[in-house]
Amino acid sequence: MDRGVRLHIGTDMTDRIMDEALAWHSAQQSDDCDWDAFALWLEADPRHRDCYDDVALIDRAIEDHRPVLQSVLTPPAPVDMPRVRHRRAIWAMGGLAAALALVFGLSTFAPGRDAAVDYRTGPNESREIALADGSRIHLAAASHLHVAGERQDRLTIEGSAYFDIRHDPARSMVIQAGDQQVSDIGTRFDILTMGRAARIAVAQGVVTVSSPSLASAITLGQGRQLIVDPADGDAEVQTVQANDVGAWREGRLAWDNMPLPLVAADISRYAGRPVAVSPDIAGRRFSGVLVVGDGTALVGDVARLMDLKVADRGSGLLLTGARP
Amino acid sequence: MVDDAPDSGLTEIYQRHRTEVLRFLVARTGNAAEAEDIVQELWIKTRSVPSGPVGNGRAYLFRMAQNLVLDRVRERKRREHRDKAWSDLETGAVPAAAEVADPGRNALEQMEDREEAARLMSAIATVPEGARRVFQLHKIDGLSHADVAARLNISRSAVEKHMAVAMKYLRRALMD
Repeated sequence: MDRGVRLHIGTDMTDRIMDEALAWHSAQQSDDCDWDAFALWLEADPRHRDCYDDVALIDRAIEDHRPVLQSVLTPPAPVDMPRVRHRRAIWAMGGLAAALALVFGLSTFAPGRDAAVDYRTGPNESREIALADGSRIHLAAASHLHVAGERQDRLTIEGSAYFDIRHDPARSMVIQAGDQQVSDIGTRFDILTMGRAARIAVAQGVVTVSSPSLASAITLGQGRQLIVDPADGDAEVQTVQANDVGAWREGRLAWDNMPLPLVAADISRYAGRPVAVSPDIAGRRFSGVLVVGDGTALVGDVARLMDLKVADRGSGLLLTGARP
Repeated sequence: MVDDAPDSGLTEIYQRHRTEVLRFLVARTGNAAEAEDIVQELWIKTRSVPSGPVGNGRAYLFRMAQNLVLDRVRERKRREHRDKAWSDLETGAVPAAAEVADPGRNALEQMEDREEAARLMSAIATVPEGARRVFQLHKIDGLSHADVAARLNISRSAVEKHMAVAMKYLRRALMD
């Protein structure tokens, strides 16, 4: 992806221009800004104008979207919000508050306990689960995690979850996700599964996936995702931006070339209603990023972007091709 | 200038500084014709906006001109983004709003709005943690540079450095 390449284009020159553009941008808030000098700076190099435009535009976009950004980025007070929404929330609260959040927010196992435990979330909640070894699992909306095994090493996920699992060579953790078994874990990755469809995306480290749909087990490294599409019975490996893995924790859903049935499954968990896909379009793919919000607009967004119709079938919504 | 509307302070300020604002706009846009258009818009604006007490009229006028330029730049970028987004779609065509359940008059705009917010969030996630913390306190929570410095127990110049880093990452992530 070209976005990966762009991270390396920074040079001292562009850094210098950026510093100057930022200085001019903030100088203009004051009444004694030297506009003539600013004009001279703009004329000195066409890159100055480009950089200044970008700075001013980004600043305005942030200003425009501040309420949304604030609601997604700002952590709630720990005592009011017993469930830690995402790990990023912790730093802003400070050490003591983070400790409180751990006490109130995380369900922690006592080591050695053998009993299986189930965790479930509703359509508008998520929760973080800490395992005894320090691993964490962030369970997305309308999902179910089953934890079993004496060493908490037999997990089953239905729905969506982000895993941050300590590597421990002495343990062989296996996560069942639909037909897939994920093992050899010591990494950060995201699993989305619904029925027989699944997406396993690795943000860091590596996992091994085996499945009846795969001839042999495959190793999935950082920046890779495996998509299992029951419509064509295929499993395929693609690249994925590490940023987009588990993006739902920041309130956005990122899909890259995803089979439509899996997109529908993902959004129905947020919409609070089942979203199905009619067979004639089940083979189509969707790429895009959408903001979750309260979850109700997602279906319409996908329909609009893909030129589909939404029919209300009472029990749920059905996406169909716009032209019969 | 023949002018039967009561002279607001702003119109007077405009008349006094028109030449230098125009010169500035040429430098700002790099396009003499566009600069002329904007200076016309600016004149209309100064006439239609009821002018309250303006501390420094000249600075106010330049900032107004700056905002008009930025409106145009934003519109241009949005159009480019839209064209690119639509050509990326399989269909290659804008879906007709009538075919969508619950279209809403500004459905497309709302969606673009949400997309922009999502792209911002995605971009903010690329900013390294130290710079992101400063960025968030300053830009999202609205603390001044001085307040951010006090909150994090760092110097004001460190705040500025973090903001520059944050903006560099945002620019890389957002601007193609």
